[in-house]
Amino acid sequence: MDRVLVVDDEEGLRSLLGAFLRRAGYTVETADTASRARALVGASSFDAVVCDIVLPDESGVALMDEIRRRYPLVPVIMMTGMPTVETAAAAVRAGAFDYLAKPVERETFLRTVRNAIRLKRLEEERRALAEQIQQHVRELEQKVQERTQELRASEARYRRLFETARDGLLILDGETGKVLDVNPSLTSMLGRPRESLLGRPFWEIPLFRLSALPRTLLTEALREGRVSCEELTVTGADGHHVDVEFLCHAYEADGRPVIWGNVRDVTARNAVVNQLRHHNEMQARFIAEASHEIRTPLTIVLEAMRQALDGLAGPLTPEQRTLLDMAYQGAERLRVVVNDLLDVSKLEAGRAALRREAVDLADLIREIERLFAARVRAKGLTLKVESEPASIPISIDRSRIHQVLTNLVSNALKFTSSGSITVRARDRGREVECEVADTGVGIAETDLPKVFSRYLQFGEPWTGPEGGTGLGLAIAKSLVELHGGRIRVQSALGKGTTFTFTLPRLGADEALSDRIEAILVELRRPGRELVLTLVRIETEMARETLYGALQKEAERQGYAAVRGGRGLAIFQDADPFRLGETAEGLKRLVRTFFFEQSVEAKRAIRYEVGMAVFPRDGSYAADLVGRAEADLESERTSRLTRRVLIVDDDPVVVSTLTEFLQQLGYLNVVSARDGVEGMARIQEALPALILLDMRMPRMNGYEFIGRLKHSARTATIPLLIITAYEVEPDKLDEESGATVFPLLKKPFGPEDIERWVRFLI
Amino acid sequence: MPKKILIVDDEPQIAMLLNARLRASGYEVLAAYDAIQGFRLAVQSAPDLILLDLRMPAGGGAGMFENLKNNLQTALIPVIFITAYANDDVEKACRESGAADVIRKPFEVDEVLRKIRRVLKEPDPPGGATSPPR
Repeated sequence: MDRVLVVDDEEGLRSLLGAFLRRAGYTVETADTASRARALVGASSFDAVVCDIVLPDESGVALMDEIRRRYPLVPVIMMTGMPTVETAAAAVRAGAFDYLAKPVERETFLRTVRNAIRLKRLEEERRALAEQIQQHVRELEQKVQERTQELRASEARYRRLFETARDGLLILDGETGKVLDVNPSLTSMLGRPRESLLGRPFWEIPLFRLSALPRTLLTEALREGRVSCEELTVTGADGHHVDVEFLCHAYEADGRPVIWGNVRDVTARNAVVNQLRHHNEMQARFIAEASHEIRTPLTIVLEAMRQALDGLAGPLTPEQRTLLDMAYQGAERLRVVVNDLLDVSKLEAGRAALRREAVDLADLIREIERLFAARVRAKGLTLKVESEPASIPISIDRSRIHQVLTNLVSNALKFTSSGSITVRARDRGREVECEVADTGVGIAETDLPKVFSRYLQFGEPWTGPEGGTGLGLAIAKSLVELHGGRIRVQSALGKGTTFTFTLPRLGADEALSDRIEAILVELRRPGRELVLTLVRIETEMARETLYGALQKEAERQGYAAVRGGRGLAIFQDADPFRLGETAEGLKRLVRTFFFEQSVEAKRAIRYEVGMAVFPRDGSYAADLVGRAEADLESERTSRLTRRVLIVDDDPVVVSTLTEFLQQLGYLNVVSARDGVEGMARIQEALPALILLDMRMPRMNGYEFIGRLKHSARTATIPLLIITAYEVEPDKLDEESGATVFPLLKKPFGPEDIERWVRFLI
Repeated sequence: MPKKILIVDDEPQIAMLLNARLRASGYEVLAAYDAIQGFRLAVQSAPDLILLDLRMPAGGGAGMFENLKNNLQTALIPVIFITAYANDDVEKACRESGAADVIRKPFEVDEVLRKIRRVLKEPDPPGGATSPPR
């Protein structure tokens, strides 16, 4: 219940007002002097005070002042017997809620009190709310402070990581390409102080020896989110080179693209890899030469003994014959060992080339049967040969598969003392499967993985009663793989062992594989790698002529090139640390060639390009061709899914272009009606190519190009100007600082679009 | 009348062993241990075939081959090169320059006999050079 204090020295008025209020539902206290009123106000709280302006002991204004000072929310209503404007104004100025003139009329009085109390309540609510808000604000501030501290701790942690990372770290503004931060590792790698790097566009910093790379790197990082370059060389201020791997990620910070680059020094790792490679080559060469030196005198020993055994030097006594036989067998074993070693070293050094010819595998296994018949019989075993169907034609290196089969059957013979050896060949269409199964001692499961190892010596003495190097199986494996096939082994101890190998039918391009194989033997150099670019022309018209011309052009530019059934392979010997550059050079050659040819022939030429690196992608031609073909397919897919933007105000041109592009297989074609819309499309996602009209409303082509060139993000997007009018070089220069752009005059045909798009993406 | 074969090889053991084996196979054999002697013998005795080591001191097999091909008396005598340093390219180059065949060292004597018979257009004896490896 609301409490009201009435202060007046007139007894009658006091009780009258008290009665009004009580009847209206208020609780009322009264005081006749200021001092009594003060005592009451001190003892309990009131919701309103009604006070005469003139009191016997003090002025009502002074009392009001004090009440308002102590209880600022309690409204005070002043009453005065002589209402003048001055006193009323003075009262209100002093903080009175209102003033009432005596005689006080009941309704006015009660309304004023009611209003005063309502206002007080509102004010109280407001204050409570304000307090609540304050409280929230304080809590928020608290939280902010906590978070800030956490952030600061985390920032300090990351800063420490950044500062102490062994990798060089580089943070770039994705829009401008400017360096935002570098860590000490990078500055010491570059041999330049941090200040000299900050704020500069990073391609201006002599960071990479490749000058063309960095800008496209930025664009690609923004488009793909992540880009890595494995072979870069950083040049320090003092001129020393550091081999690095560069990996960058794009992300957004405060709505701006930021690129985080990671530069890892791999000089030491590369040195170790090179050393190992060199070591392996030296070893292989040593073995090859040593074996060769041994084989010549061995031939003399064998031939001399054989002539003696053949009686060419006169009759032998039985004792002499026995001794010579022993010596001959020993020397023969030595010859096998040396041949094995030579084979292994050749295979390991990648110096083995295949000479494929058409062979009937069924014939070959029958030949093996004849070859081993006597020895199998001598051990009391049986040798079975099965072929399904009766004839299996395949293109293989006859002598090498002969060797594989000889090694496998020799091995079976060595470890089988009773039962049989079976050689089976099956035609499986795309490949041929061949197996050699015996009923011998078998191989323990734990030893199975070691079977094809060059360095094995496990369980039972591997050399067995008939000698050998134990290299036979390793050689067989290498030879099968040289053919692009696989070999596997299954065995059960005491029951026998089965070796199974496959030989793929290479199809039309084994010609290419074989020629590549031959070239690999020639071109390989220690510590270098070979980039193989496979070009496949898909347009049928004049294909052979084009292949011939491309081969000639490649050779004119100093590349080795070979033709196969389904493509042309161009090689380049490359510094392993500059592979990217080499590959780009080759791609440019091919692109330019086909562009020029298609202009000359006045029609589009379809072709695809794939790459493989020897020996990284495989040591055998079949692997490399397979890898290059896979790359070719994935290149095609990635090219066709790239975003192409058409900016033209003519809807007919837009739809024609879109249709042409879609017919060519491009899946991601978007369009814009003018430069402004074009910029918006670019903001959505960076295109890989822009086809641009010059005359457009709102933002014309010149301005559009200017904007593109202005931002590092968009400066390197390839552009093709398509226009019916002459392009004004001055205007272009003024906007973009360049005057030469690919240009296609309207009207154009689908072949023009195809030629240009293929050239630019 | 037996066919006459000239062996020119600077490794005497190889020459001797080939000599013995070829004689046993019914050929008449002459041997020389360097290119100069070899060329003189070729001109003097007009052999039916020459087995020529590609690498030898004093002019080497290649020099002697040149001389043989530039001499009317010897230009038509088939020459089989024997070499320890062959690869496919060397072999190709030899064939292109007019060699009848190439034998890589170390060789199997059976292979030599087979190639000689082919160059001389003689039939293989039954079970002879094509007998399975020992």
